[in-house]
Amino acid sequence: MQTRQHILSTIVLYIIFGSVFIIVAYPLVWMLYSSLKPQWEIFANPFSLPNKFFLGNYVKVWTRGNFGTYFFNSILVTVPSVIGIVFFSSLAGYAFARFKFKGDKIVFFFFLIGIIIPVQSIIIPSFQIVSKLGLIDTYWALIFTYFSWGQVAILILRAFFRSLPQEIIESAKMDGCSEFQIYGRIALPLAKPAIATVAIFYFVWVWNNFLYPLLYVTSDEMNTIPLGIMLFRGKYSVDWGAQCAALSIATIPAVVIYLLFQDKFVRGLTAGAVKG
Amino acid sequence: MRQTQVGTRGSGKKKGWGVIPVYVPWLFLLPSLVFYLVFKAIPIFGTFIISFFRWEGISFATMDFIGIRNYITLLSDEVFLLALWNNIIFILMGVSMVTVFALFIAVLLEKGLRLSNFFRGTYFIPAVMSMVVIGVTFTLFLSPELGVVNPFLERIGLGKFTRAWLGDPQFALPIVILSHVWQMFGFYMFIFIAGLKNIPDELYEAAHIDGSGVWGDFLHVTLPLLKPVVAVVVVLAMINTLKVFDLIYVMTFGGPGNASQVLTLRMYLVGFMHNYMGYGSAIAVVFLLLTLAISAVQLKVTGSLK
Repeated sequence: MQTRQHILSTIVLYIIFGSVFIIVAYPLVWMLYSSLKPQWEIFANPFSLPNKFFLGNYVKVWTRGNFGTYFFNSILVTVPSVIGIVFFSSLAGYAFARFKFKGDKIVFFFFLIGIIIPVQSIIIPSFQIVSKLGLIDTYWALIFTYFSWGQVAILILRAFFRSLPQEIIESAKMDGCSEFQIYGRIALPLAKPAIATVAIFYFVWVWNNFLYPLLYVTSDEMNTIPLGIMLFRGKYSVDWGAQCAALSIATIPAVVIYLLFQDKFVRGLTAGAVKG
Repeated sequence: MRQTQVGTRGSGKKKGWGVIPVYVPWLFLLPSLVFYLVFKAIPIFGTFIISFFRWEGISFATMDFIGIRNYITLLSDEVFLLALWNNIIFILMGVSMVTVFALFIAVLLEKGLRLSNFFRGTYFIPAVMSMVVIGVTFTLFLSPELGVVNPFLERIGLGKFTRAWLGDPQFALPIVILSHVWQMFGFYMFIFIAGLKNIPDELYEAAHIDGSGVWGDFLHVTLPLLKPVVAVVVVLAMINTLKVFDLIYVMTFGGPGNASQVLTLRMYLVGFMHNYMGYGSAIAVVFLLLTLAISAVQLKVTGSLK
C-alpha cells in the first residue's frame, strides 16, 4: 500500500517535472536545431530535426551579419568590465570590512542606495554625462558605466572579508606588511571563491545587457551581440535559420559559463538578490 | 585635534599596528566611489532635477525651468496612464504567477527525487539568457504566417484559435508577461529552495505524528516558516516586473497601438525618440519612486518578519 502510493506519487512528480522541462527546454532546443537547418527546411516543417548539419547559417551570420565583430566587441566590453568591477569592488569591500573610519557608515549606506536604483530610471542624465564626456560610441562608455554597477559585488565581498580570521591579517601587519600588501598578498588570494561568484554573476549580466549599448552605441561596428541581434533581425527578417544561428551565438557563452559554474552562479545570484 | 589615524576592525589594545593613516581607507574606496558618483549617483539626482525643466537635451543653455508642469501634464497623459496601468497588470499577473509556480516547483523538487538536481539546474537556464534572445525566440514562435504555435494548434485540431498573437491587443501584454514568467521562475525557485533547506526536518516529523498529509505539511509547516522568503520573492518579483524593458522592446515595442506600453519604454521613447528629456525624466521619477516604495515595504516586511 505504502509503496504503491510512493510509486504513484513518483510518477506524478516526474510527469510534472517533465512537462516543465519541455516548456523550458523546447524553445532553446528548437532555436539550436533550427539554426542548423536551411531556410526552406524550416518553412517546410518548423518542428522537424535537421536532415543534416547545415552550417551555412553560422557562416552567413558570422561574416555578412557582422557577428564576428559583435562577438569581438562583446568580449572586449565584458572582460575588462568584469575585471574592473571585481578589482574595484574587492578594494571597497576590503575597506568596509577592515577599517573603522569617519563616515564609513554614511559611505556604505550611500553605496546601498545604488543597489535599489533601477537602471532604467537614470538613463536620461546618464546619457547626458556620457555624451558630455565625449564617450558616445566608444567601448569606454559601456565599460565605465558597468564599473558604476558594482555595489552588489561590494556587499558580497565585504561579507567575505569580514569572515576572514583576523589573526592572519594582524600577523601580516606585525611582519611589516602595508595595508595594500595585506590586501594583495593575503586577503585577495583567500577571497578567490567569492571573487569567482561575483565575476560569473557580472559576466552574464554584462554580456546580456541591452539597454546601455542601445543608448551609447551609434555605429554598427561598435555593437555588442544583443543589439546586433536586433539589427540583424531588421535586415534578415525572413531568414529564420540565420536568426536562430545569431540567437545561438548570443546564448551559448552565458549558458556554458552557467553550466560550468552552476553552484557558484546560483549562490551569487541568490545572495545578491536577497541582500538587494 | 585633527584625526590622522584610523582604527582597523579587530585591532587590539597594542599600539603601533592597530592604526593606519586616515587616507588609506579612502584610497581603497576611490575607484568604486568615482565611477559610482559620475555614472550612477549624479544621474540619480539628475533625473529629479531634469524633470523640472523643458529640455530637448542638446545644450544646457536651452534648459527651461517649468516647475512641476511636467508632472501636471502626466496626470492627463493617456499613454502614460495606460503604461502605468499595464505595469500594474504586469505586476499583479506576473508576480502572482511566478511566485506560486516557483514555490510549487521548489516544494516538489525538495521531495528528493533522483533527478531533482538535473531539473533544478535546467529550470534556471532561461534566467542566464539575454532577454533579447528570449524575446526574439518567442516572437518567431508566435509569428502569424509561419511560427511554431499556430501550426501546432492546427495539427492538434485547434486551428480556430490561431491568430497573430503579438499583433492582438488582447494577447500582446499577457504573452510578454508569460515570457517573463518563463524566464524568471527558475531564479525565484532557487531562492525558495534555499529557504526550504532551512526548515528543520523535525518539524515535518512532528507534523506527521499529528497525522498531517502532504497538503497539511505545506499549509502548517512550510508556508508559515517560509513567510519571510515569500516576502522577499514577492518584492523582488514586483521590482523585476516593473523594470521590464528589453522584452517589451523586442516583442511588441509597446504595441499594437499602446496595448503593451509600459513606463520604462514610454520614458525611453519620450526621452530619446521625441527628445523631451524633461518630460521623460518626470516619467523616470514616477518609476523610480514606485521602485523605492516597493523596496521600502520590503525593508519593513523583512524587518518585522525577522
